[in-house]
Amino acid sequence: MVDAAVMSRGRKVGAKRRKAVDPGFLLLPLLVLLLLVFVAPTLWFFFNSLRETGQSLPEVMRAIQSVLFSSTIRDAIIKTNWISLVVTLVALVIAYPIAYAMSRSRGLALTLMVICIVLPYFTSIIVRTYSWMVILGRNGLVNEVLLQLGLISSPLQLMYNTSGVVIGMTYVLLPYLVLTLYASMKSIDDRLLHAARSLGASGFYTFRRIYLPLTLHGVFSGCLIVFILSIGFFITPALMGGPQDMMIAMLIEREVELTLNWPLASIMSLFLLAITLVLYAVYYRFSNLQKMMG
Amino acid sequence: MQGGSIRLEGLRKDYGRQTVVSDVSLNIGSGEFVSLLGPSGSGKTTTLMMIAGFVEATAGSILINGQDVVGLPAQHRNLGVVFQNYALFPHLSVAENIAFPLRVRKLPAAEIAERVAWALDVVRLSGFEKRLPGALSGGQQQRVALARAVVFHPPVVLMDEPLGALDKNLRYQMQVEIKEIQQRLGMTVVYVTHDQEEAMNMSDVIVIMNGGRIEQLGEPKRVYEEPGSIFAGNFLGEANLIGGRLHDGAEGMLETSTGRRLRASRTFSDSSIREPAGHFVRPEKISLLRERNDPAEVENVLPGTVSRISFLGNVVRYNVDIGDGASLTVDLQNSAGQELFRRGEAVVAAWNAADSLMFRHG
Repeated sequence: MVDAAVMSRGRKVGAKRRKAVDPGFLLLPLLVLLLLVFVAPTLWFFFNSLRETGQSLPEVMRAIQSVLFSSTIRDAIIKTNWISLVVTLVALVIAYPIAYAMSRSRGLALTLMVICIVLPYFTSIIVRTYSWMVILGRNGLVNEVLLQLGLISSPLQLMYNTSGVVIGMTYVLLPYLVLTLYASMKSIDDRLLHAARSLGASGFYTFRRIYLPLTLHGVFSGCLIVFILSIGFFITPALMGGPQDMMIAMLIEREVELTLNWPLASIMSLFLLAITLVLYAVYYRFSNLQKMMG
Repeated sequence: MQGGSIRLEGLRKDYGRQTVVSDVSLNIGSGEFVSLLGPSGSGKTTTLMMIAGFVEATAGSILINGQDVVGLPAQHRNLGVVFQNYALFPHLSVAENIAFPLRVRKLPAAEIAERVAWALDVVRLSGFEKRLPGALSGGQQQRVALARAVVFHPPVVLMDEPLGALDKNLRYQMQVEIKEIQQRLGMTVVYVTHDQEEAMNMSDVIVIMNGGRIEQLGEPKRVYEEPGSIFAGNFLGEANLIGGRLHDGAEGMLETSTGRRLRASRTFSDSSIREPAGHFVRPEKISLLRERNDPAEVENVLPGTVSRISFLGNVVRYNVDIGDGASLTVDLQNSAGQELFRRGEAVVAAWNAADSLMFRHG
C-alpha cells in the first residue's frame, strides 16, 4: 500500500517535470558494462582466491599478512614505488619546459608540438617499447653515436636495468604530464605576468612567486596521474628491465602464469588496487579543492 | 607623494605594415589626470602599453621625469599599472598582493607592513588583509589593484579601462573615489577609457584618439564645447550636424537645403564632412518653443514637427523633423511643472550662435 502510494506520487511528480529529465541515466549502459566486465570479475576473483588461503577470516588475514611482509613482495613494492617516483620526477623535469613552450606558442608551431606529443599515443605501447630497445640496445643508436664520437670506449648498458625501465616508462607517460601542465599553464592570464613585471619583479622572481605557484596544481595532478599509472606498469619494465627490476605487476603476472599461485596474485592485486584507489582519492580531493579555489 | 611628469614625443607603433599609433606627442604635468579616450582600435591602449613597457615603441621617445625610458624593461620603469581585469594574483592574499612590489624591492618587513596598512587605508579596505582576491567583489578587487599600484609610490600610475567590468552605479562611485585618491596623493595618472562620461568626470585633460592619432586634447569642458573635429564632437556626446552650404553673407553662416540660415560662433575645417559645410550643436543647447513666431533674441531658429519622444528620466529627448529628411535631437530637462511636447506637435527649435560651431569641408 505504502509503496503504491509513494510510486503514484513519484509518477505524478515525474509527469509534471517531464522536461527536466536527469541526463545521468545516459551513464547507465557504461555502469552496467563496468559492473559486468570489471567489478564483478574482480570481486569474484578476490573471493575465490582468498577462500583458498583459509577457512576463517583470521586465517585469511594471516595469509594476507604473510604475503605482504615477505621479502620478495616487500622488495617489489619498494622497487615499484622507487621506479614510479623516479619516472614521475624525470617526466616532470622534461614535461614542464615542453608544456611551457606549448603554452607560449600558437598556430603551426603549437599544432606540430601537439602532434609530436599526442601521436605516439596512437601507436601500440609494445611497438614504442621495442623502438626504444632498438635505440638503447648494445648496438643501438645511442651507443653507436657515443662510440663514433669517442665519448665511450665500450657500449653502455642502457637496457635490462633500472635506467632502461625509467627511460621507457618516462617516454610512455610523458604526454599525460605535458597535457596536464599545458592545461594549467594555458589558464594563466598573461596580464598577471605583466602585472608582476610592472610592479618591478624580474623574470625569475615572477616565475618563482607567480607562475610556478599557479601551475602547482597542474604539477600535482599530473604527477599523481603519472605515479598512479607507473605503479601498475607491466609491459615496459617487463621488456626493458632486468631481473632486479621486478615491479608488482610483473610479480602478479608471474604468480598467475608461472607458479599458478592465484591466492598470492590476488592478494598482491588487491594491494595494488588499494594503493591506486588511495592515490586516486588524493587526486580527486585535490582537483576538487582546486575547483573550489577557482 | 609627488607625481612625476611624462612627455611623449613622436611616439609610433607599427605591427608589420600596419601603423596602430602614429606621431603621438603629449605633455603630462606632475599631478595631472589625463585620459586617453577613443573607440577600440584608436591606439589608446597601445599607447599606454608603450608607456608601461609591455609594447616596444617603433619610434619616438617616452620621458618620465625627463628620463627616456624607451628600451627600459617594464620592471625597471617603476610605474604603477592597474589592469582592466585587475590582474590580482589569485593565490596571494590581499595583503600579499599589495606587498608584492615592496617585497620585490626588498624593503624591511616592518616598512612593508606599515605601507600595506597605509595603502589599504587609502582604498578603504582595512580588515580585508587575509582574504583571497576570489572572495572579493569586483569593486573591492579594483581597490586592491589600485592599492597595489600606489603602494610603492610610483611617479606615474597607468590605468587601462579599470572600471570596464563594473556596473554603471558602482562605476560612478569608483570614479569619484579614484579621483579623490588621485587628488589627495597628488598622483599623475594616465587613464585609458572608451567611456566619455568617465573621462569627463575624472580628467584634467582629455586626449581624444582616433586611428592611432591624437584627434584633440584639452580640458573636458573645452573639448566638449568646442570640438576641433566632427569625430571629437560626436565621440564626446550626442550632437546634431545640420548639413548645408556656406553662405557668403557672414562668417560662420550656413544655409540649409530648406533655405534657413544658421549662424555659428566659430568655424573649423574637417575633411570627413560630405556636404560643403555642417552646423554643429549639442542637443541640450537647443530649446523648443510652442509659438510659431521666431524669438528675436536667438540667432538660430528652425521650425519643425516632433517625430519621436524618448523619456530618459531626468532628460526628455525629442526628435524634431526639420524637413528635407533631416531631423534634430533636442534634450530638455524634465523640470517641475513642465508640460511635455506631444508627438506630431509643431514646434520651433532655437539656439544661440555662441553654442554652435561650423565645420567646413577641407
